[in-house]
Amino acid sequence: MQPFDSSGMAPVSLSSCRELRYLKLKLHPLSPSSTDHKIISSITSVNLRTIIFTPNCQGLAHRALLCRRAWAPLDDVMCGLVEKLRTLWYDRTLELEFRFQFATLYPDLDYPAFMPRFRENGRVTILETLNGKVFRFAVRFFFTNHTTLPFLNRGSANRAT
Amino acid sequence: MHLPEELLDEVFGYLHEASLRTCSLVAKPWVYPAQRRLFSSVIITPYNYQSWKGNISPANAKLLRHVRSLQQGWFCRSPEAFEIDDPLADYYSSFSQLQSMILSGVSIGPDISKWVRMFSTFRHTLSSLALQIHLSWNTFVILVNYFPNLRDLKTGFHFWLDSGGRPPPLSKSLRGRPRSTTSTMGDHPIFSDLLSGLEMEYGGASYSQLVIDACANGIRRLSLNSCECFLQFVQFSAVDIS
Repeated sequence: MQPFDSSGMAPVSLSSCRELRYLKLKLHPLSPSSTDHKIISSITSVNLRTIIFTPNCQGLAHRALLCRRAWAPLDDVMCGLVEKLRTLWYDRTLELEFRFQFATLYPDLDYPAFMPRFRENGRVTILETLNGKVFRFAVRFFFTNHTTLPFLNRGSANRAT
Repeated sequence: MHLPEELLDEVFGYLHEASLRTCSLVAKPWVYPAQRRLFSSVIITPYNYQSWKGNISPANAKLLRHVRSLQQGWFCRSPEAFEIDDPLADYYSSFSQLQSMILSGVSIGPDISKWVRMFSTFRHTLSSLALQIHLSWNTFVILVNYFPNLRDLKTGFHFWLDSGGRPPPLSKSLRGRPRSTTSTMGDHPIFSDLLSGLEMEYGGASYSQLVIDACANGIRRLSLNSCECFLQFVQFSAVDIS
């Protein structure tokens, strides 16, 4: 028996998955690769609710995740996906979820630079898997269900708006 | 004091394995609920196989019917050892309530009929199947289609498909092709609509697309683990994250 061809890193297409609701991608700690972009772009399911990223690196990666501008391509991809789905009568608010073992929001980070275009129409969530803490980024602001973060009391949340 | 079985079962749900073992020796009414918890999830490895085989007879259906989840891993075996049959072959017929199964390291040869006969006891109860084995495409299709109530399929890092004569690598024309809702056993099979969860590596192997397309009818939850992760993790260590 001959194995199937495994050369190259050809992305799979999800165009045939018409009922897809949740897509979970375990990927690069800082930003998705072009392969991941192509996979996301191939989605045609109007039942899509959440795309979940589980970065392969934990620890401080969430800090890098938030402050790096390398996410601009993903922002474009996500906007393109939503626009494409809207033409198929997609009427949901697409959620982009990042799952980290530990997550903290830092007051000195440039939150508006994080997926700004997608946040106009969709929702970004950062989920701390260890404690179930959830940070939500909506339209140019964020809020959290964790009230003990010190910088929130200092009004630093306004810096993120 | 005589407690109803439902109450005992609730209490035993809070106990760890060692406590459950002790409870199973206390009184006859405690045996069933304790064993039900103790044997609900079974992991068989080369390290505990002899102990398992020495203590539990394959004919002990009364005990083995408690097994809901079965995980077996034989990665320590040499390649020659893969030629032998599955060490649990005698036990399968007693797993009458099995719902979740992880097959790893066993060798499923071209004679799939022998395997499906062994799996017939839990054919209608199995809802989750994880494969970390090498097998042919045809065998894979027959195996997945054999369980009509399968809802979750997971292919692990050690999963590998051989073409086995067919099907050919995916052609672009296959994508988006209209499909019927019935399962077929042709070159491009379609799995049951009930199969709603798929987790797999997508290292670029051509069968990744075939598996996704075969599951496309009912798939709602898809989890893809990139094989690039490790390589990119190495690159990540050189990146300034400040």
